[in-house]
Amino acid sequence: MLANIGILSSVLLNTLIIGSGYAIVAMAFRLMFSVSPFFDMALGASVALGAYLGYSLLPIFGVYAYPLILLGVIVFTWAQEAFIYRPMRGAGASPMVLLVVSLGVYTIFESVIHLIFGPQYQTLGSVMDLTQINLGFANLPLVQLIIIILGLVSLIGIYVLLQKTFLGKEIRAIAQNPDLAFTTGININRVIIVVSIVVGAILGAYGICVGYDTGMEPTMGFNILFKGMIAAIIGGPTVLAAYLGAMILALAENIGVWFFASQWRDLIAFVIFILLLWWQPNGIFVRAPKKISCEIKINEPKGKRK
Amino acid sequence: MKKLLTSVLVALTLVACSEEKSDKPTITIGASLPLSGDLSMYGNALKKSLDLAIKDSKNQDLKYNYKIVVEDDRYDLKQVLTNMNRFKSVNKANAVMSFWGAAGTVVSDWAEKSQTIHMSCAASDKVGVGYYNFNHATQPKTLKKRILKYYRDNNFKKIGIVYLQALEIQEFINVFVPELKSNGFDVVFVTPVNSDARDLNVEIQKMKAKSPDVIEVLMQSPSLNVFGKQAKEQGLNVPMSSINNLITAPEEFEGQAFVTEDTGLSSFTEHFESLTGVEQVGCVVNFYDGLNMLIYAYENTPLRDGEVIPNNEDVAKTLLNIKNTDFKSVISEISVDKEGNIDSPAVLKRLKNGKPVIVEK
Repeated sequence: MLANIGILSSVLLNTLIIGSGYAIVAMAFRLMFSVSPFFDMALGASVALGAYLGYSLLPIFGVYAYPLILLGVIVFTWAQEAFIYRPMRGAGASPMVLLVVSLGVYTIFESVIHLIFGPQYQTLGSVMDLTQINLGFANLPLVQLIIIILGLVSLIGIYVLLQKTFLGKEIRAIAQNPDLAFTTGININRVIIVVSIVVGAILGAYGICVGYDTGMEPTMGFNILFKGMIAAIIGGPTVLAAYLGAMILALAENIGVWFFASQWRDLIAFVIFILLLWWQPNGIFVRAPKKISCEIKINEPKGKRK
Repeated sequence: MKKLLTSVLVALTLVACSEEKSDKPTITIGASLPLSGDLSMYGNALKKSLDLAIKDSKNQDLKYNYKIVVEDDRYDLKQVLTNMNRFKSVNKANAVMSFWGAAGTVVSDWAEKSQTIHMSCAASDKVGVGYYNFNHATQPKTLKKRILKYYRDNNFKKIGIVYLQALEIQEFINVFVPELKSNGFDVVFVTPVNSDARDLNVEIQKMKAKSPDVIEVLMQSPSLNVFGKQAKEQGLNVPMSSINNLITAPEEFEGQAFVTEDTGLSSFTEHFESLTGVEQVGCVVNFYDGLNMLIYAYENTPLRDGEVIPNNEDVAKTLLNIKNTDFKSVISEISVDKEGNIDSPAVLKRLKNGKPVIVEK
C-alpha cells in the first residue's frame, strides 16, 4: 500500500516535470503558430541548439555562457523567419510548403550537429553533481525544478504579453484574422519577428535544461517538438490550453508507465491524441460555439382581427 | 597546349600504375562496421584492430597479400546487407566480417547462400550456424555461467532485469530468465526499455518497490547513461551488474561489476592501445584474433588444381579444425565447436575511477 502511494506520488511529480517540458514547447509552438500558421518543425532545432551551445560555451565562459546561449538560439530562430519563411510567404508559399521547408531546415541542422559533435550522447554537467531536493517519496533534481519554474514563468509571461501589452493585442488580432489585422495597419512581419525572438529565448532556455537533465544527441529536437505539438493540439488554441494539454498528455503517459511499462509511453500518447481529438477536434479546452437558433417567432398582435 | 595536356596524361598514367606490384595473390576481406551512429565507438575501434592485425601480419612470411575493405553501416541491417553484396560483387571479397548479433544473423544467411567465409563477433548462438559462418566471441552460455557465479558468490537471490529492446538482447533475455528461475533465483522484474526512452523515473520507482538484491542492466548508450543518472537521482541504491556494456557509462556506474569477454593478454591490450591511441572495447580482441584466424586458415589450406587462392569450402574446414596447439591466439584459450563458434573465457570486472579493472578471471 505504502509502496503504491509512493509510486503514485512519484507519478504525479513526474507528470509535473515532464508536463512542464511538453508545456514549454507547446506554448512556444502555439505562440509562433498564432502569427505564422504552419507547423514549424525547425522549432525542435532551437531546443537542440540551446543544449549544444551549452556544451560548447559553458566550459569556456562558465555562467556567462547562459546569455550567449540564449542570444545564439534567438538569432537562429529569428534568422529562419527573416531569411527563409518571410520571403517564401511573401512569394505566396502555402503552409504545406513552409512545413516541408522547415523540415529541411531541421534536417540540415541535425546533420551539421552530427558532423561537428558526432553522434554520441552527451550531457551538460556531471552525473556526480546531484543537487536535488528530497521530497521523501522521491528526489527532485534542481534542473527539474527549474523546468517546472520555467514552464510556469513562460505561461505567466506569455499570458501577460498577450493580454496586457500592445504587442499582445497585435498578436491576437493577427491570430484571429490576419487580413483584417493587416488592413488596420499592423505590421505582421514585424510582429512575427518579435514573436520568433520570444520563442527562441524560451526554447533556448529549455534546451539548456534538457542538456542537463536528459542529455543530448543530434536527433533530440524532433521528439521534443513532436510531443509539444501534440500537447498544443490536444489542449486547444490558447496558451493556457496548451499548458493544460501538456499536463494531460504527461499524466496519461505516466499512468501508462505505472500500470504497464515505459515502452507503452508513445503508444499511449498517440492513442490519447486521437481519442481526445475525436471527442473535441478543436482541443479539449475550447468552448463549443453557442448554437444560434434559426427559429423565427411571429408575435401575433393582441385582440381580434377585423 | 597539346603538349601540356599529353604530359599531364602521361604523368597521371604513371602515377596510376605506380602501385607496388606483388607476385602474391591478394585475399580481400570485407568488414561492415558502425563507423557512425550510436555504436561508432565500437566500429572505429574495431576498424583499428583490423588495420593493426593486417599491419602485424606483414611481419610474417605469408603466401598471400591480405587487404581489408571497411564500410560504414550505422548498424542499419539493410546497409549491412548492401555492404556485403558490394564486398562480393565490387571488391571480390573472399571473406567478410560483421559485428554483433543482429548484423551477424542477417549476414549468416547471406554467407551460406553466397558461400563466403563469415567471421563475426556476436553474443548469439545463431550467428555461427552453417558451414561458412564463424563467431569469435565469448558465447552466451559462458557469460551466463559467469554472471550466475557472481550472483551466488554475493548471495544475491532477488534479481531484477532492465534491458534495451534490441534483437540480440531480447534473444538473450528469452534464455536467461528461464535459466535464472531454474537455478533457484527469484526474478522480481523484467523491464524492457525503448532505445529512445529518456524518462525512466516512474520505472525506477517501480523497481525500488520490488527491492531486488541486484539489477542486471542490459542496455546500451544513451539509454544506459539515462538509466544510470536517473537511478542515482532517485536513490536506487542497489548493486548493478551487466554483461559487457557498463564501460560506456563509467560515471553513472562507478563501482559496479560486469561480466565481459576476456580481453586477451595484457600485452595485446598495451600493443593495441599504444599503437592506435584508442581504448580497447568489446570485440576488439575478437576481431584481431578472428582476422588472424582467417589469415592462418588461408595460409594453411592447400590449393586444388588450377587454384590461385584456396576455395572457401576448404578454408572453412581448416577453420573448424583449428586447435590451440596450432594457432596462437591473443586470448588465453579458445575453442572452436562444430557449429563454428569460437568460445573464449568470461571475466568479472568492476569500474574503478572510471576504468574497468579485472576482479576475477
